[in-house]
Amino acid sequence: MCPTRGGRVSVGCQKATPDGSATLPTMSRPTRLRQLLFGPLLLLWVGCAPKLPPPETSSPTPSAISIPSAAEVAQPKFDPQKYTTMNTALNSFGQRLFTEVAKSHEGNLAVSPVGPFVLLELLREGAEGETKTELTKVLGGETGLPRKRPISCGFSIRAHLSRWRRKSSWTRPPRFEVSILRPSTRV
Amino acid sequence: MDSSTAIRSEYLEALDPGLTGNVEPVSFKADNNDAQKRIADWTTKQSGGLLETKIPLREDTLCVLLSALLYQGAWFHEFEPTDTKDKTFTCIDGTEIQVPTMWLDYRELHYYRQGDVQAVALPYEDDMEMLLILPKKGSSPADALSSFDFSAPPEDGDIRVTLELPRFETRTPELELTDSLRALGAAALVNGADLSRLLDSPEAPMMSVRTFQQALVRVNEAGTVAAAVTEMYATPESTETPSDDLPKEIELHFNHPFAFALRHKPSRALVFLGAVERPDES
Repeated sequence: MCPTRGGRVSVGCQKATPDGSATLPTMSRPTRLRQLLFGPLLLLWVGCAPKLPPPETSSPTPSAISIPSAAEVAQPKFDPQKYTTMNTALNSFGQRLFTEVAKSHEGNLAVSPVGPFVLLELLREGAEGETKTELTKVLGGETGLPRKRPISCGFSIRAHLSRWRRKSSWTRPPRFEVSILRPSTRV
Repeated sequence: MDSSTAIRSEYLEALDPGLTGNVEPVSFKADNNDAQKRIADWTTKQSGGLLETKIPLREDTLCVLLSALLYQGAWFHEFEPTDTKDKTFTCIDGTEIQVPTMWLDYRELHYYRQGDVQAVALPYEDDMEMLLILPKKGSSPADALSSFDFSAPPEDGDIRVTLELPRFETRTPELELTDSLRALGAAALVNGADLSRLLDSPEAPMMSVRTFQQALVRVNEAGTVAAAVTEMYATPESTETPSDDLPKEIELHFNHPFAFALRHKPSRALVFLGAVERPDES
C-alpha cells in the first residue's frame, strides 16, 4: 500500500534519541531464542544472578542482524486470528483503563495497557475465590490466553510486536519485559 | 515477615519456562534498600534510561511484579524538519499557545471519521502505527479516545491528507492505577486479595495490591519513543482505603487537544493510549 520510502532516516533521528540511551542492548539466551520462533522473544533479566553473560557480550544485537526486506519476511508464522480474543480483551481493557485514569487526571496523559494486562493475568493465575472472579471480569472475561502458559501468551503480544522489518538502525522492535521479586526464604 | 512468605512452587511450575529466570528472591525487610535499588535499576535499564521509579518500597511488601515496555520507531513518512513551524494551538480552556508544528501532505494515509471525531493512522517503518485522534475544537481528547471504535475500518477512497501535528511529549511519572483498577472492578485485588495460589503467606492470608505506572511518549519529525514501566506491589491487606460523503482532500490540523493510540497493525493490539492537552508541557 505504501510507496517506497524515499529518504533515509538521518538527521531527525538523532534528535529523537535524547542521549542514545533509548537504544538498547539485547539480553538473550541463544538456546532459548531457538524455541521461541513463534512465542516470545523473551529477553531474560536475571538481575544479579551470575549465570547469564552481560548484555553487551551476549548474542548479536539487532543492529548486527541483516534484516530481510519486507517482501522476504516470512509471514505465515503469525496468525492474527489466533490472538483475536486476547487482543479484543486487551484493547477493551486498555480503553476502559484509560477512561478511568483520565477521569482524575489533568494535562497530558499516556497509559500503556499491556503491562497491567499481563501482570493482572499473572495475578489471576495465582488468585482464588472472589479475587479470581473479579480479575477475570476486569480482564474482559476469559482472555483467550491458554491457562497453562499465560506468560507465554502474554508475551506473544511482544512476539508479534517484534516481527519487524525496519529500514533504519533507529527503529527498535518493541521490548516487553516482566520481572517478579519474590520474598527470599531464610536459610 | 517476608521470611515466612514464599511463592508457591506450583505457581512457578505453571509459569512459562522463559519467565522463571525472571523470578528473583530478595529480602524486602533486612535489605530494603537493596530491593528498592534493584527495582530502580531494572526500571532505568528496561526503559532505556527514559524512566526512573521513586515509589517507596514498604518493608511489609510480600511480592513485586514488574513489567516494562519500550518502543522506538521511525515514521514511514518522515516529517521534514524544515517544514516545522510555530503554529497556534488552542488549549481546552481557550488559551492560545505557539508550538512547533510538523507538516505532512500525503495520500494513502488511513483516515477515520466517527461522528465529530477524525483520526489518521501514521505508519512507522515496522508493523506499528500511531492513530492520531482529533475531536472537534473544545471537546475532550480523552472522551474522544474513550469512545473511539478501534475495530472500525478506515474510510475508503483515495483521500489526500494534509497533516499539521505539533511535536509533543507526554510524561506521566508515578501514575497510581490502584484506584482505576478498583473502579474497573478489581476491588478485592486492592482490599482483601486472595493470592493463595501465588503466595504461601500464613501471616498475611489477605493482601492488598497497589499498581503504579510511568509512561513516556515522545513524538517528533523522525518518529516516536515510547516507554512504560508498570509496578505492582503486594502487601498485607491494609485498613486504609484510597479511593456522509467523504471529501477528496482533508486537512487535519492538530491545533487543539487531541488523543493518540500506538497500535500494532497486524494484531490491532493497542500498546499506548494517550491524550495531549498542551504539546509544550514537560
